[in-house]
This record gives sequence, structure tokens and C-alpha cells, in this order.
Amino acid sequence: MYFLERIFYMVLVLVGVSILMFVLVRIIPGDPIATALGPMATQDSIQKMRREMGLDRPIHVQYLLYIKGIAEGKLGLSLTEKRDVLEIIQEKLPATIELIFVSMTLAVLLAIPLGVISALHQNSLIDHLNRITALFGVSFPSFWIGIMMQLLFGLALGLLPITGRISGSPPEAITHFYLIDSLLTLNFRAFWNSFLHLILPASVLCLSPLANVTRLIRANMIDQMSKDYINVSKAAGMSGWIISYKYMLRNAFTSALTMIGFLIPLMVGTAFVVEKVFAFPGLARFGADAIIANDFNGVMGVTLVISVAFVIVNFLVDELYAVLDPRIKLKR
Amino acid sequence: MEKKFWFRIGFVLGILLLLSSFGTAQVVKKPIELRWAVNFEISTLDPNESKTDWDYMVHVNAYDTLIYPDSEKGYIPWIADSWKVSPEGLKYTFHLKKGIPFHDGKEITAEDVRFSMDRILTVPCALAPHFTLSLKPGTTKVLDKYTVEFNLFKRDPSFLDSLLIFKILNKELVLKNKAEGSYGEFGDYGVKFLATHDAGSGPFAVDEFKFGNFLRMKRFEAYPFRKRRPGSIDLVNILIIPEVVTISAKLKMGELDMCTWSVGDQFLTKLKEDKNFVIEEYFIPTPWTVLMNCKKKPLDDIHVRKAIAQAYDYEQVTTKILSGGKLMKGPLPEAIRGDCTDIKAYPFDLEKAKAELAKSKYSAAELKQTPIEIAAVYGSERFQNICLLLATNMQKIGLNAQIKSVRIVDINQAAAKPETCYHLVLHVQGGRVINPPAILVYYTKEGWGTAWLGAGNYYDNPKATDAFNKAKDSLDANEQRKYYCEAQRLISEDCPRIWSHETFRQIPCWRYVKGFEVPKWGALFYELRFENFYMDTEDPLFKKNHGW
Repeated sequence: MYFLERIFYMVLVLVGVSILMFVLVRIIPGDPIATALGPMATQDSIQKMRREMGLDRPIHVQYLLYIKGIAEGKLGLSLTEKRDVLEIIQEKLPATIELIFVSMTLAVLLAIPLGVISALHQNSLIDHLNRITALFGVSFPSFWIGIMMQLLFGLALGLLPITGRISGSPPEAITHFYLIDSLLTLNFRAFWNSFLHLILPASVLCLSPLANVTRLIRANMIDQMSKDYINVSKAAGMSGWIISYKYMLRNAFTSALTMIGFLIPLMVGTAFVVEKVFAFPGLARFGADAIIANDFNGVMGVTLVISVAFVIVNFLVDELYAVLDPRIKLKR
Repeated sequence: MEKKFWFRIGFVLGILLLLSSFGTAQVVKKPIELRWAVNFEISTLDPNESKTDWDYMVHVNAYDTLIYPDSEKGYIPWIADSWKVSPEGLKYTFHLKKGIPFHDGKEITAEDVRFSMDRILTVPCALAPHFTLSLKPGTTKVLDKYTVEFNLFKRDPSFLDSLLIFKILNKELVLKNKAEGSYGEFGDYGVKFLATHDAGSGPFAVDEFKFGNFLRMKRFEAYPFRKRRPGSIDLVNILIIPEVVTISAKLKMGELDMCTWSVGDQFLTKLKEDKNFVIEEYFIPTPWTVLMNCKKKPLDDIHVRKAIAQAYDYEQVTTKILSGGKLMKGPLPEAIRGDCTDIKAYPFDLEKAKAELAKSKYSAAELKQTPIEIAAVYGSERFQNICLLLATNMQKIGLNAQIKSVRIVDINQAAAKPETCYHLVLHVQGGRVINPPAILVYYTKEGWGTAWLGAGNYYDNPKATDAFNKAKDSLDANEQRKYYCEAQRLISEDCPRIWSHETFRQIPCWRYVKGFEVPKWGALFYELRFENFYMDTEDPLFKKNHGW
């Protein structure tokens, strides 16, 4: 019953977002058809294309046709790439998911020890260094950091590739995630090559979540340090390591988990800068280009993907809470 | 003792085996690859949908045309062997060469030409306006296997120019891959197939295409018009990299051989000092103009327009903001202007601009209170800087200039009506076939109401329009030139635009890339036909960059 209720609300949210975005992209200024057909297009050809795309119908009819299209596995024609938006999403989404997953993993793996160390050594040199680095990560624009890393690690040192997802042939497509596919097909050359291509963009993309999560963990850990159970544990002779990582961190991590859940879908939006700088063939870049070109089907498609990501991640975060903190009893 | 003996034997055998592998290794000839990076998407492989520079670059290599541009004769036969035009200028009959193959080996026939033209006229596409004003679908006739006749319903002096962008498609291949559509027996007319596949006969065939990622082209070995030479390109790899700084880095790293001209003027200036690189420089007849909405107050006053024109600092624009440009004298670029004289110019002079403004029907107070919006295309630093310079100078002479950073789609949309169109729009006319009608039409009522940033002039001078129409109707080259000159003279006196400069193009490449020919004609992108390029494979830099 609980799950049915959750699914109902998730669908409600998705429907609401789809209606809002559908109307918005159609009422904002800018004629994408005229732009798609070029400056010398006649009114006849523009009207013909409008009819072919169903844009001459009332907006509620267009929306119903759009929903019907989704049920048939079509998300409409992209005016920029001249093919169905679903096909574009299927091709580009795995690249963005892979990038975001690696970035977030890197961010969490670094944020946890950095946050804990900062909390345990409050106001020490290491704490200050961590905070300055975190400030750097959120203050400097990601495109600048990306370009600097390209010039350092690519041009100056020649250590890492600076564009693309892989050099040479990609691994045989199973999941379309290059790291997973290359392991499944035992193509270690492709695994190593795609991993190297991910290092720079993932490092840039992880800076902002790393800074945010580190600061949150630090603050929560400091809060935990004043709790009675810590004194009791110390008095009982428990090692500092176990107290910090097994007990304090577990309690301190719940709000960080909320933040991670919130950041993951947001990263699809911020990923477009990284994807542009590193020529990474992902969905975020397509979304940004669709907005600039007023490719309304493209904008709708990307928005739906982000919305679905939001609702799913929020659901998973809620479930993980119960695992992390058994006191939290979800009403089922 | 025995162990040592066998160890030595094994060691010697191992060395011999290793040495023998060098001797017996076969030398595999590597293909010569040209690696190029561009900063905008190649949006489609359909030659009828060419919109961006890179679309054109790909299409000019994958497809061929009936005629080919020539600096002396204007056009020379290409797929066509010869052609004739009827005296009244309504029938164009082309005789095709025999045995010219498409990439799949099929011979090009008159039926392919007819199919290709009917497709342009039937399916809404970017290329259609070049032909729909004088041709109707179904009027192109096949007289025999190698003879095709275009029957125009209206005389069009630029028809031959337009044929430079008319690409011949493989009808059989397109119809074999047609999808469901609204064009009867032709289905979707190959719209879906041609977006991602090539059906051409050009010197290079599309091998692989990933949207937003790369496009790979392979040399078409059976291409009959140009023979191989030592170092000829076998493969072209075009990478799509949106960030120009990244492109610059990859070029310096040796991962690219050539790249887009948009890499930035500072980078190009530094590259000129590096002997390992060559910058191919040339002017192309694409005009940079600042168009004025003559229906919008206070630009409805000729003195205000002239004052703004004299506040435009051409020198600063072409030397400090851009890396070059050839001053324009009037609406048409030099290559197609003819020997016109008496075209009014408005050189930069703020004092004269103030004096001109004083003649305006609007008082100084009114002008200060009336905002003049300058639309600069969002995302272009060069456009922003040029507009900022103009706005600053306009403010110095007493005008209330404001810059609006706007998306192209929004500027296009606004241009459709005089009341919504911005006062001033900085614009580069990127027409693929530069001919007088394509440019001058926007100085007449015929160009009003087009949702395109180059069309928001809302200017009309009946005498200039009359001269323009007489030039279009004439089949005599001298008469055409006379009327175009008259139209330009009249337009320049009214100053509906600021005519800045013609584009200065700079293409950076490594020194081992040879064969680039600076174009001497008015058709664009033919200088980027890869068949003309070759590599100096003996150059140590080539070997290093390509791993030879």
C-alpha cells in the first residue's frame, strides 16, 4: 500500500511537471520552426511543417497527442537533430549517468574522510585547508576549472585525454555504460581508456558536491561530538576510529544523504558545462543546446528525464534512511 | 654447467627470434588522416537542410553538383557536360556526363537530378527558398537518360548561382530506405534516412556519424574528377568540440591537424609566431552589418541613422575586437559589387555624428529619453564587444543606447514585425551563395516580415526597389550591373544599415597540411573540399603527431 501510494505521488509529480513544461516551452518567445527551416523559408513551408508537427492544434490536444506518443515510445521530433527525442536520450543518457555516477562516487569517497578529519581536528591547519579547498570548489566556475585542468594535465603534462568518452572503438554495447560494458566483455583496453577519459570531467563535476557534502558532514560530526553517547563510548574504552566512523558518521550522514539525493538530479543541469568543455557526448549538453535553439521536444524530453531522476532518487533516499537509522519508521 | 649451457642456448634463440620478427614484419601502409575540430554541431547529413558552416563543409565533400565555381568563367561543367539557357531565360537544359558514379557505384542519370530537384521543392527544407520562387514541383523534365530540363515559371538571374548548392541525390538509394510519410509513393522522401546517411557522389563518403560527437569520411576511390597525388587524404575525422579553448589545446597537442576559424583571435595571433603552424588567411564575401529598424522611433529619422553610422568605429572593430576585415562600401561585398561608384560612405567621426544628430527632428531631450536597443547574439563574445563599442560611442553623441544579449531564435522571432524588431541588430550574412538578390531583397518590402535577424530593416525606397527589380529581370550582365549599382547608390544615401566589413577568415593548421587554395570566387566552402588537401608525410611533425 505504501509503495502504491509512493508511485501514485511520483506519477502525479511527473504529470504536473510535464504539463507545466509543455505549456512553458510553447508560450515563450521564439519561433523554432522558422529558425529550423532557415531565413529564406516561405510562410507556406513554415505552416506546412507546423501542421506536420501538430503545432496548429489547440494546446490541450497537442499535450494529449504528446502523452499518446510517450505511450507509443516516441517523444517527438527534435528540431536540432531531426530524429526522435527518445532515440537521442537512449544514446546520450548513459554517458551522462556514467559521468554523474563517477563524479558523485568520487565526491562521497573524498567528502567522508575530509569531513570527518575536519571535524575531529577543528580549526587546525588541515581543517582550514579543507575549508579553503571547499570554497574554491564552489566559487570558481566549473568551465574555468575544466579548462585549467585540460591545459595542465593534457597540454602541459600530456597525462590524460581532454575530450570525448573513449579513443578508438567503444566496447560492445550491452548496458551502454562503457565501464560496465568493457568489464562484461573483458575488454580491458576499453575499460582503462574510458576510465582515463572520465577522470578530468568527473573531477571537475565532483567539486561542488564534494564541497557541500564535506561541509555538511563536518557540521553534523561536530554536532554529534557533543552528544552523551560519545563520552560514554570513550569511557568504555572504544577506539576513536570506531566511534568516529561507525557511530558518529552514521548519525551525521543522514542529512548528507538528503543533500546527495538532491544533488544528483541537479548535476544533470550542471553537467552541461562540463560536457561542453570536455566534448563529452552526454544528455546535459543536448538539453542546453535544445534550450538555446528552442527545440521544445528536446527541452521536454530532458526535463522529463531530470524529473524522473528526481522522483526515483528521492524515493531511494527515503528507503536508505530506514537502513541508516532504524529509529526512522516510515508510515507504510 | 649444463644449466648454464641451456640457458645460453635459450638466450641466443630468443634474440634470434626477436630479430627475425623485425625482418618478417610486414609494413602496413597507414591511411593518411586529416583530423579537424569544429565547435558547432553537424546537425544533419541531408544536403537540403544545410544551415551551419559545418553542415556545408560536410555536404560540399559528400555531394556533387551539376556545375562547379570557376574564378574566370564563373562556372564550369561538373556532373553536367554542358548546358544551354533558352532566350527568354525560362528553360535550362543540362546534358550530363556518362559513367559518373554515386558512392554505391550506381551511375548518375537525369532521373536522379529530377528527383533531387522535386525533393527540394516538395519537402519543407532550408534550401527550398532558393528554388521555389522560380520552379514548381513536377516541372523538371527528363528528356533522355542523360538530359534534364528545368522549366522556370519566372526568370531568375541567380538560378545558376543557386545550382552550386543543388546537390544530386541517389534516387534509388533514397527510395530504398524511405520511411512512412505523407508524400505518397515517396514516403517521407528519405528525410529520416538522409539525416544520418549519405547518398552522394562527392570526393568523400560518410563512413560513420555520431551526433554531437564526430563524423568520419573516407575517400571515394572511384571519384572521377580529381586524381590521387602523394600525401592525398584517405580519411577525414571531424570532431565536434563545443569549447574553442579545448580545440586550441588539442591543436597544440598535435591531436588535430586543422581546426575551426573560431578559436579566438588571441590564440591565432600567438600561433602566427609558431613556425610549426600556418594560418590560411582570406576574405570571404559575407558582410558584417548593423541593421537599423527604419520603422522604429527614432531610427525613422535619416539623420539619426547617419549619426549612428558615423559613431561606428570600423577600425577598432576589425583590429582590436576581430583579427581583420575588409571595409565594405555599400550593401554588396566587393566580389559581387561590380565597379560601382558614388556609393555613400559614413566613416567614423564622432563630431560629424553629433552635427548630423543635431539635424534630427527629435530634440536632444527626446533622444536621451528614447532607448535604442542593440541586439547582440547571446553566447558570442565578439558580438557583445562590438555592440558595447557601438553603444559607448552612441552614448557619447547623446543617444540612449542599451545592449540586449538575446538568443538567435528570439531575435529571429522579433524581426517578423516592425514593432517587435530591435532597433539595431548586429548581423553576419552567412549566405552560402552570395549573389545580389539574396542580399538586396532585404532592402525592399519583399524582405519585410521574415522571421530572421537579417531581415528587420523595414526599409523601403521605391526607386531603389525599381532598380533592383530591373536588375533581376534583366539577362544582360552589363545591364544588371548598372541597375544593381543604382540600387546600391540609392540605398546608401538612406543609410538603413551600417556596412561594416567583409569577413576575414583564418584557418590554423600544422605546417605539413598542404594544398589549401584561397578561393577567388563567390561560392563558399569549396575551399574546404578535402580532395585538394594533402600531407607532407616526410615532415617529422607529421610523423610525431600521427604516430608514424
